[in-house]
Amino acid sequence: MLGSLRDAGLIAWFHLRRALRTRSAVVLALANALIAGGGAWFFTRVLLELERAAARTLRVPETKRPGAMLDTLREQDQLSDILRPLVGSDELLEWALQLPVLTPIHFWLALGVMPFLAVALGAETVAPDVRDRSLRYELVRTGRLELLLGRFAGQALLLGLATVVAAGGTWLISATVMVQQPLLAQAASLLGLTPRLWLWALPFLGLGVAASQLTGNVNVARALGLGAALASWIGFGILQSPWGEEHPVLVDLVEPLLPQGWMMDLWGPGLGWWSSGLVLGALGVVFALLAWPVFGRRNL
Amino acid sequence: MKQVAIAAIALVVGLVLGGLKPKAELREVQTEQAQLCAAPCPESTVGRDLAQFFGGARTMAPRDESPREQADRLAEENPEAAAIVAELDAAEGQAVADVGEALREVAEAGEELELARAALELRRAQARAALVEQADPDRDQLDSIDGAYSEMNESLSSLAGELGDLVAEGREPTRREAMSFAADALDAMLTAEEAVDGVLDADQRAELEDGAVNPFSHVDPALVDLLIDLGQ
Repeated sequence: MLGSLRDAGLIAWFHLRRALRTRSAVVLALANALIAGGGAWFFTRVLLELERAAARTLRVPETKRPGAMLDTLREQDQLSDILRPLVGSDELLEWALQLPVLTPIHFWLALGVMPFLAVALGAETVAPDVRDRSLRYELVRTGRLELLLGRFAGQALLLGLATVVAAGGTWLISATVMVQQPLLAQAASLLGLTPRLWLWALPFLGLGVAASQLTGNVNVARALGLGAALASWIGFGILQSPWGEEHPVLVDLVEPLLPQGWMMDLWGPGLGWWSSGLVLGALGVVFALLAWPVFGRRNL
Repeated sequence: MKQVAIAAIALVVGLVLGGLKPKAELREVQTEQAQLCAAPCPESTVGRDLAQFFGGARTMAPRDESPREQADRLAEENPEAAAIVAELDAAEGQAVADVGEALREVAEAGEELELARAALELRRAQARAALVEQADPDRDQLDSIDGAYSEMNESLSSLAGELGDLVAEGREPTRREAMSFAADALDAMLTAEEAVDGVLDADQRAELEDGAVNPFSHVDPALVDLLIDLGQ
């Protein structure tokens, strides 16, 4: 077993190093940072317009950078109206209000975007090497399962790196576009949420890896994986609808298999999210193995 | 690697299957709770039975008599008491309406003052941000500016406190005293404005919009609390 684990570890490490060497890791990290930073920047523009409108009403000069009114809005309990729809319960709202304002925005944006980035990344795991048949040479020295899970782990490491850089994108917006933001607390809170976002993305990475085993065409694999991710959202929406209330046993059976069923547990103070994170990690491995019956017997 | 894959699959399968029974039990309890909450409570006759036991059935209303019928019967038997009760009812209705109106007025006044406080706080925060953005003062300059406005607010608080003491003594300020208070308040604001002007250089002053250094924009919202005390 140890030899097998060592093989998978080496494959993961090699995969990560190759991604760094070929700059694909840099592209992925920058894309993540651009999306996170872009989302944060868009939020700051909305905030700026709100502050300018308030400044005109209060007959004080407008500013070019937003953020001056946030502390006051927080103290006056006005920010809670913006954050309440995002967090759900009043307890979590209390916690969210203590965070710098861009942190919950980053978290919720990443919850929506990361699944699709993870699927796209996962779709490249095996498919290109199946297409050019170079996978056969690697398989001379290790087993298919080791190769598959090793590459999954390598992609997961890459995704972790991209998630950290994405947090950096949001932090940069906070530091340069806004005023009066606690930069150290902003960095700490963003980094504190990063492991949760990484774990959240793993099941979707697994879906991409599964799609990658089914075809040698990366684009087809991406389409399959994105379709599966989209289907998971639609399925979750149906389970949450009145139809789901009429079929409780089905909900109990299917909801734990959907990453979205564990999503809300990732939000909140303390380490209560770890157990859900562990399940998401396990779901990632299980999803990656969904196409194993095909890939394990495939003529490469 | 097989063991890792099996462990992950076992964890997921265990979660799904292991969660079925607890979730079903929870659902049952929730259904029962919902039914209990929705069902009307059966009318208890314990109190009436006890009262009849201790007070004697003679003074109690017959079981089949409604409260309305009971009230009518008592009014017929005691016309004077019925008149007094009617007067009390009318007075109570008026009193309830008066108290309600007074409470509504207090609540509205409180909300307005809360809004005024929030507006002052936002105004102050925005004015300071505009000042920092437009004049770009260094750390020492900013400390001096904050100090000047802080002194101004202390002076204004002190003046409001003096005015409050005067009102607390039960006398209204005379015209001369009121003018003196107003002059002192304006003086505190002028002093702050001059201090801020002195801290900034000509280029910085040229960049500033008037509202950013307007002392009225930097008034501490805590003054609203003092004004509330004065109003009371």
